[in-house]
Amino acid sequence: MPEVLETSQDSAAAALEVRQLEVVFATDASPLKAADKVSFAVPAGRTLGLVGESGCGKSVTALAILGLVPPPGLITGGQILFNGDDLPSLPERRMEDIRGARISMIFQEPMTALNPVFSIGSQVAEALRIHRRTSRPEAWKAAVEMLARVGIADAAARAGDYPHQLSGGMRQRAMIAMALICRPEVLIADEPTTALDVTTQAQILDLMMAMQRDLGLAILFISHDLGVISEIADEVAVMYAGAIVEQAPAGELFERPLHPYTRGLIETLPGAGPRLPRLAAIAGQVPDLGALPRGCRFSDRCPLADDECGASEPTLAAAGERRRVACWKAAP
Amino acid sequence: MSDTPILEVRDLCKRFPVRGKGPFAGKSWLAAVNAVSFRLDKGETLALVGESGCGKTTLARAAAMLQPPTSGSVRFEGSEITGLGNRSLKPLRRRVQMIFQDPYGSLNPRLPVGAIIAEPLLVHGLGDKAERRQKAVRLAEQVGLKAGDMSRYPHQFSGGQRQRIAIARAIALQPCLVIADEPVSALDVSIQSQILNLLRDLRDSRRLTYLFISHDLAVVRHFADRVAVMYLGRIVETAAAETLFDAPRHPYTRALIAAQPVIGRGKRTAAGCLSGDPPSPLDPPSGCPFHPRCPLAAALCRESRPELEGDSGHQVACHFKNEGGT
Repeated sequence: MPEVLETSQDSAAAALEVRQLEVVFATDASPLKAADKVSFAVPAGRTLGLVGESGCGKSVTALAILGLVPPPGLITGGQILFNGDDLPSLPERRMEDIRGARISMIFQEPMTALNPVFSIGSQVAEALRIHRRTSRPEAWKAAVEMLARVGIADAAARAGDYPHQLSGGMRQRAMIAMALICRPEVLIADEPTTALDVTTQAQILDLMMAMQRDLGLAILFISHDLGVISEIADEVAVMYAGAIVEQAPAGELFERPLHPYTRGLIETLPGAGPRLPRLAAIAGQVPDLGALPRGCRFSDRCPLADDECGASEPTLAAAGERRRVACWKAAP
Repeated sequence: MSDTPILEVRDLCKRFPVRGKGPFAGKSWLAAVNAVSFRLDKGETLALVGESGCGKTTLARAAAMLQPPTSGSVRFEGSEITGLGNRSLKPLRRRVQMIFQDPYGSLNPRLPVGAIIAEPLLVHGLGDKAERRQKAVRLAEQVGLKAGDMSRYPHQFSGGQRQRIAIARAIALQPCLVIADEPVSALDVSIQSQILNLLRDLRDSRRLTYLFISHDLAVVRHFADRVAVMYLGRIVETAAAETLFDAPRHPYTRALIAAQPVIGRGKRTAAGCLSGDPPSPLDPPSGCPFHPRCPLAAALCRESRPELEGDSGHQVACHFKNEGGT
């Protein structure tokens, strides 16, 4: 079996590239591989959607990029390339200069990600104070400007508000302002709209796309929601039980999914077509990382699985020009 | 469909007292549900949709007398149930059951699954211990659990399996009305469809009537016969599911449908996106509650609140319900 593709075509212009990343959680029983040979590249000005169900390893991958994998998790292999540096091998001091300034992150729940005892203005300004050593009044001024840019009306007055005084959508805007104030090259967004109502979600997605155009941001957008991913991503990687099982440009992936898991996910969604009496379903449940089936990790739920699938694991291999799929049965 | 609806709600209001700021401030009232009327026929699935805080859960809880309404009438199978005490409501409790969003919070972690499913039978004094146990096993099998699961505890199950346990408990008393409050929102996509299929199978095999609360329009479109869209404590549009999704007439319904992400439509464009947040129910806008965010709002909308009007099939609360295209 040939090794997984070394690099994707975008890697020349990639703002961030992850190669063969492995994250392992040491547990009493057996070590669990939360991310298994994960590779992808995010070019500047583009959005990579990382989609999968809970526990598939998408958030761990994001945390690994920032060097924030919680113990007992450890990065045990692979590279994370940013600007020619391999992030996991950088000393913590240099990582601190990157984290929040050149690669920043926004989270699902802005109420817990924001500090309740500081005004949003001072939290946005803090990033500048720390990373750029800006003076207090100047940082405040820049924070107010940033808050206005992310669509907070009357930003000068609002900057003095505390998180609990804002609506969910406004809090998420404040968090985006905080993430973008240092003009990062890469933004990691972990389920940024999952806690929001649909109309607010639409506003936040529009805001993220506008900021991407303005700043040339590379966005790694993590979500379980295929609809959201379809509307925001240029390229999509589907994760299942710790590994990427399929990767393709968004349009092609949703039009012609190659991996049976991707196909299953799309088919289970109640769609816009005629109403069917029953929805398609993927049988069974996501396996425990400690008890993955032999061979292909999807083989115990896969409608196409046969002996070959139970015997050896397919690697992520090229399928067409810009697509990769890890399946013995996928017709290219 | 029989003539007497299972549930008929008229002019239902639920207000909560809110203390003002400062020690001497008076009480003010938050109208969570405001003069809502609807009927639910036997075997029908009515979905309440709307964004968080619009009052859909409060409405369902008030209609089931879990939180007695402030005013208005609720008739269950033709008889008035508002004003009844807990004792007189007990027979009703057998016939109305709930399924909640969070299967982690709604199951007692200290009871094995068998006891959880049999608990409603115990509460209502049905059968002896052996019969209850037998019935619990049958119910568990009906929702796709194994008999061997009965002695395990909730934490040993995944979210989807837990929701199955909650469903088995809800149907244990053979209710005719099941109120499902966001039953699949906390579940992964591949599990969502399994649970929706199960709810549909139970509806067919047991002739259940559902009051189905959800914020997910795709799920509602798939599952509901009729839909009521709520905004700030009021129903702003109600129609058969197909009609509502194919020809929505309230600007809020249209905005909700437009904001729903759709697979394969390609990258989004900013068109048709509602601005602002829903207003606070403590300080509702004058006139039409939707006018501050409405693309069609005119002077009339700021002054007078449109009533929910139309034939019984499709009702809309909007001054411009006949304009604006689709």
